[in-house]
Amino acid sequence: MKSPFAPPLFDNVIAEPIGDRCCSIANRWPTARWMLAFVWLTIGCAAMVPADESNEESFDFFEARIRPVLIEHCYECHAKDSDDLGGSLRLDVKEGWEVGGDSGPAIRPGDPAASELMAAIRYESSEMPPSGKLPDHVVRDFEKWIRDGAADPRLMDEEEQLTSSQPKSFDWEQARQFWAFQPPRSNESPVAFDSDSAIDAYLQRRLDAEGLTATPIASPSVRLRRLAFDLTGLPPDPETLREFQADPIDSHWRRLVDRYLASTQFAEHWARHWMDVARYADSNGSDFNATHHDAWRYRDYLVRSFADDMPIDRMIREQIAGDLMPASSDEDRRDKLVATTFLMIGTKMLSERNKTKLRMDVVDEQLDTVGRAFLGMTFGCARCHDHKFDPITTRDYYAMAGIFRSTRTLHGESQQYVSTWKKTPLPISMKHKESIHAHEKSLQDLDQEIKAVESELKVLAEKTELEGITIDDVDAVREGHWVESTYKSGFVGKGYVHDENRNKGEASIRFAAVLPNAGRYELRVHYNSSGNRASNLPVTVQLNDETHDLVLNQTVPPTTGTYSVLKDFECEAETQSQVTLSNRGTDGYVIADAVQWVQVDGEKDPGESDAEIEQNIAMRTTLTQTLKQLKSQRADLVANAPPPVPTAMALADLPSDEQEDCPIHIRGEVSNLGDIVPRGIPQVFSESTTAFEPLEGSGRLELAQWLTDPDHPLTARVSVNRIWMHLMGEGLVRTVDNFGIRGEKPTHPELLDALTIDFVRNGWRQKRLIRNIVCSDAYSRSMVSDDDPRVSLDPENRWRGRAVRRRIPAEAIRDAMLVAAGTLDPSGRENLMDSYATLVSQNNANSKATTKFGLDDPKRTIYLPLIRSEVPPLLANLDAADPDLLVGKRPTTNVPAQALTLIGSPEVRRWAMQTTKRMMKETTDDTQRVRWACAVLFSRDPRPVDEQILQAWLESDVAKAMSSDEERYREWIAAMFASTEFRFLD
Amino acid sequence: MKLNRRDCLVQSTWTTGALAVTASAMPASSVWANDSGVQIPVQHHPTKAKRVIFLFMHGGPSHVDTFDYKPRLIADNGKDLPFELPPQISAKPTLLASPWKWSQHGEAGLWATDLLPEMNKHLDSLCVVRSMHTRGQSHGQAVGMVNTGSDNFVRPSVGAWISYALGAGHPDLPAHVAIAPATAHGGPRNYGAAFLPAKHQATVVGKNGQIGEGKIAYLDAAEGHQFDLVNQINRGHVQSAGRDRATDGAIEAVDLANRMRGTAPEVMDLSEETEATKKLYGIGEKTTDSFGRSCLMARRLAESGVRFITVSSGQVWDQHGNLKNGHQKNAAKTDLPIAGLFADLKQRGLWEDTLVVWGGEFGRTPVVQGSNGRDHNPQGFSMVLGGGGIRGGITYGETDDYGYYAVRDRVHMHDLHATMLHQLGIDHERLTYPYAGRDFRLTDVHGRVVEEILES
Repeated sequence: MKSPFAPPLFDNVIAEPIGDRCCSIANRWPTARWMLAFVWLTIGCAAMVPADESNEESFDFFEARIRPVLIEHCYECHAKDSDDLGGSLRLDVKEGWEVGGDSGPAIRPGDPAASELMAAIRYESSEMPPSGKLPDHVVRDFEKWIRDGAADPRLMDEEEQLTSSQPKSFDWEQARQFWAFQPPRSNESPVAFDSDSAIDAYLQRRLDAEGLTATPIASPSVRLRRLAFDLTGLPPDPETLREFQADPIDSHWRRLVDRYLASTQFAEHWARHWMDVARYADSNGSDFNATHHDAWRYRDYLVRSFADDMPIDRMIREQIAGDLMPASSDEDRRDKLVATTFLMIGTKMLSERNKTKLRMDVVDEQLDTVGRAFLGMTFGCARCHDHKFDPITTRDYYAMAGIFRSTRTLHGESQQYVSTWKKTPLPISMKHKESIHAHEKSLQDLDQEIKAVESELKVLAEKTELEGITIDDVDAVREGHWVESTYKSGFVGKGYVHDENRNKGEASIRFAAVLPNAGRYELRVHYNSSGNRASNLPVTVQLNDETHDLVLNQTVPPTTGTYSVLKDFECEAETQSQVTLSNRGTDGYVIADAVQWVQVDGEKDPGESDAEIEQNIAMRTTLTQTLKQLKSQRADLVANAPPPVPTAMALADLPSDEQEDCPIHIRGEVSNLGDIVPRGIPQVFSESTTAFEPLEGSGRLELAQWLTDPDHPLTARVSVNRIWMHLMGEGLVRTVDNFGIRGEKPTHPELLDALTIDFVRNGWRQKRLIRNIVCSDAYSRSMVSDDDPRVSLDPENRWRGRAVRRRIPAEAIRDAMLVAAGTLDPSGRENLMDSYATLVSQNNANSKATTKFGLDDPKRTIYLPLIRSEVPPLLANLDAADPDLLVGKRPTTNVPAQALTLIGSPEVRRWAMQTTKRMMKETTDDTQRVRWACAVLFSRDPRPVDEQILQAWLESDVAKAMSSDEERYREWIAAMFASTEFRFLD
Repeated sequence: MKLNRRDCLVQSTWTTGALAVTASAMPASSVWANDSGVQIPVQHHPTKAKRVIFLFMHGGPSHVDTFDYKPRLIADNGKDLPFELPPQISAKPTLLASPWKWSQHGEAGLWATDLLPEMNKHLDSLCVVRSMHTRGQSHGQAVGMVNTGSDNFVRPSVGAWISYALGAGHPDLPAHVAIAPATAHGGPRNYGAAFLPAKHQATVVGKNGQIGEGKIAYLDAAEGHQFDLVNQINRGHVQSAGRDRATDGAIEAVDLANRMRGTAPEVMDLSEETEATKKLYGIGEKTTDSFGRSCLMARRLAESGVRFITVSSGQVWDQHGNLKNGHQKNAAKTDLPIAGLFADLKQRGLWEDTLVVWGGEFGRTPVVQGSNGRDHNPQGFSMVLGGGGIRGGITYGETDDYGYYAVRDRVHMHDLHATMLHQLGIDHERLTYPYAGRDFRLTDVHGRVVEEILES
């Protein structure tokens, strides 16, 4: 069927919504049935109206052209009686479009361009009506009606109430009363947390109130295993365990705490926690899995920062705006640039062709990350509409979006349509600078030399420009397979082609030319010779209608210079000539360089003598060789270049004339813009102005300062809560990334506030807080079985009367296996992605860098490449943070694939074998082996059941059938690796 | 091989010994599990389909060379498209008629080219949606759209949502399986769980269009005595240190893995099939063997209770050049196995409650790219649905005269997803999961059930 209206010009694919909006069911445009043959009807309406409408009364125009269309196409979903009022928008009364629906007023009288309704019927935003676009003339009618003021006589009955979600105006005073927006309060004196018992005192108050009794302190081995894994991500070494078991007093405990806190392993383990929130990865993932060659610098920045106990507020500031902060040294500058990788490292749809949309998607990702990482607020919702639960409006969203939109994250393309990110050079040492400079200088000199030789060659080529008419191979028409070559010097033009001595009969090359004069022409064929060439190359010469078949023997050198004269021909004026070399039936390589026609009767050109030509050719050969040498010198120089200036994935502000406030994107659509919002902070956080004034840069520095203001109600609380969670299993606010209305309220608000105040007072130092928590009794309590009646009194352990079993992170599980195997290499790894090309799927085998490594690399897991879409199953199945997502709290899942990888994966089995060998060397009998294995793998003394299990296994038929002791013990060790006790902290 | 529920319980008790086993990690409130581990499905309304097989023609097969008959495109071959191309397109505006012959098929007389002759024989029981449109001019976005409903964000895959809603139909098997999924264009994201519980991600067999050995990773590597040893050590642990939900769950997972080890290889063993069946799928023939085994595996999994199975062709349908050779080659590999699958589902009485979906992430331009190819076309393309309560022998929707833009009764990818869920008894607006402060849906704030293509 013929399309009923003019060829469509939908650009909906580009102009469509951002692709993901919130998901609540209520407010949305209608999805109802929009069938009916609307088009003909509206055309009918149009016919009723006289052509000249310029003097009409506006109401008349409305009645004739607008109302019928509204009734026909809009009322089903946008009228008082609609089953499901689409987008909360009514179009059956004037007030309906004035107040508007979810997207605000639908029509702005006088301004069609600003009217959401126009965008919708033009299919630029939402596509209305959904059954098909209205004919163009109807759309034009609406445009005219709105431009003329949108006269609409349909007033609402007085008693009728307009039900609409818009305009939604928050009661800001009330919104600010929500606990999370109130500054932390504490009645304690500031010194309270210098004693170990402060935390316990708070917890005890709640326990007493709930009538609960706390469990006793756990055994030294259980406590120490907890502490070692929590602080370093590694098991305690058996020696430390023995010492602590022998002397489990508080001072000993504190000494161990300090020792662990001072270790590099602590910094690595806690950097990994931060990397979960930073959605750290060494590749982009998504459609275009580009290598993040410089992400490791950020990882190492985190490790250094945690080792130095850098104040968390400073870390946050540097990660948002380090590039804009003053630096005290080159190292400091480097760290501050590298810190901003935090905002760069999210996964991006780099191949998105609509770059405006991509830019806003990146901004959204950054905003969402900052919101959840530091404030525990979900800003993402407000991209399309005011937040449904929290007091965050689209204005707030775009106030902050303007900050990131004035920042350069993406820069350039790695290939057509595929964006790449900004790479910022890092400061380097003077010596390094000089060596780079010297290198560049020699490269330049060499290039000049090369250029000189090349131009000499060119001059020579011009001088020796061949007489007559020359057709070079590049100007010939090739059929079939030909390979270009310059291997043998002495050729016409830039090279020659050969047939690779393949596909005989399929390759041919045709040299065509018009011979202008009447007279005798000599045919010269240029080639080079060797023993492997064809001796029987057929040459077909077509001159107008006559054909001559000739044969050329390329095993013999050309008779003159680079050519042999094949024959001469008598030609008419304007003869069409075609010389075809074919590899049909040839017995060796076929070379085709050029064909030359030279008129040989009449006046001979006063050209160069054959001797001169020969001389030129000889010179050319020499120069060509010199050039080859120079080029190989250049290649050597390049191969031995000093390391390039290192770069970081670091942000920068856009040039000041490109920094700008961002307009509200109505419904999140990049093509549907509303009011411009000055860059600033969400309104709920400020009773006075929210805009940053005055503003010199993008606003990131101001944002960073605001986030880390000592009086900010959220940032410190969110940090403190995460630290608590890593040690105690659950946060005081259990929804660690959501402190909003949909999040949970703190179980111990006073404790959270007191810890927060103490944290801020003492310089946002993480180690102090960790020390306070792990020195509390609460941290060291024992767990009880779920069958214990105490569990049913507080099943979720909200009141912290006991410890709850926790699984150690995936990285720690692998690292602990390497520790048991005795193979763990504690050093770090720089430049770990050097062997990868632009895409992680292209592994550059020629790179001098390390080979591609996986789980087998004996480094700590934090130093292995973390490639999006290729997280090793062992880690992924143990709930390593998905690098695509911000993960504040890892889930603890139990899927069959987890059991299968633990039991069946070759790496685990290899580590089990290495562990077994170590054990066999250090022990002589089974009692010793059980003791050894329990100490190394479970950090405890053996129980009778341990040896019983081993003995039962060794006596089983399956074990007996195995060929060696090592294999038998390996099965047992492997089972311990796969056991609950190995990966859980009791 | 089919276990009834009683067998499962018996087996489960035997493996876990005296341990009391309860389901750990409960999914969200709308979904729950009973004792046997078989989830009680969400059911918002009566179901038409119990499972979905998605034949994913990765790369984007051309609708104007398969099912979208456009006489004007044939008539105007070589002329310029009379309207503008969308932005960011590498194709020229020159129209290119299909190199294949068009004819009508079956009683209903649906038009199709002779590119997919075997599938054409089933057109009377298939519905061609000719007015598909989606987001994403590049593969990554569009592949994300068809598999996860999102072109730019990390979201759970369709199969993960269905697993979350329905659970597995067999206690020892996953609910969601991806056969030969691509590693590119998002890779695991296209069958991942994102923020849904991890168990809803697909179990993977093969990769990049090749089913390979047709096995689940590590399943063969593990042996029975290893499970026994792990179980004993775990029991020792909880007996001395106490049990809790986390260790219960871990112990249950070991048990389930062990049961899967018993069940899955049998379900996945294609050698049990008769020669006639294998022939039906083209197994044993060089061209069709791999995809044929993928399709047969899909049927066996479907039959055994798996809810969502993606069979991926590999990213082969992307003919920017050499349309004729490329599409012909892809058709040769997939057409017969797909028709074999349809026939087999029909003869086993599975057609009625299995929703089959055939299509790519987008279609291809009616205009030429290079001298003989076509560029990506998310603006309008066709997908084919069948079984599971879909009306056969009909087309739905239209593209313009040349097949470029969907213009009439447009069906967005979100609408397709809504319709798929609908046939499974799920209301796409009510299947939600709370994450990061929001309730997420497969269809975001979009989606319309395409009632017009459903059997009444």
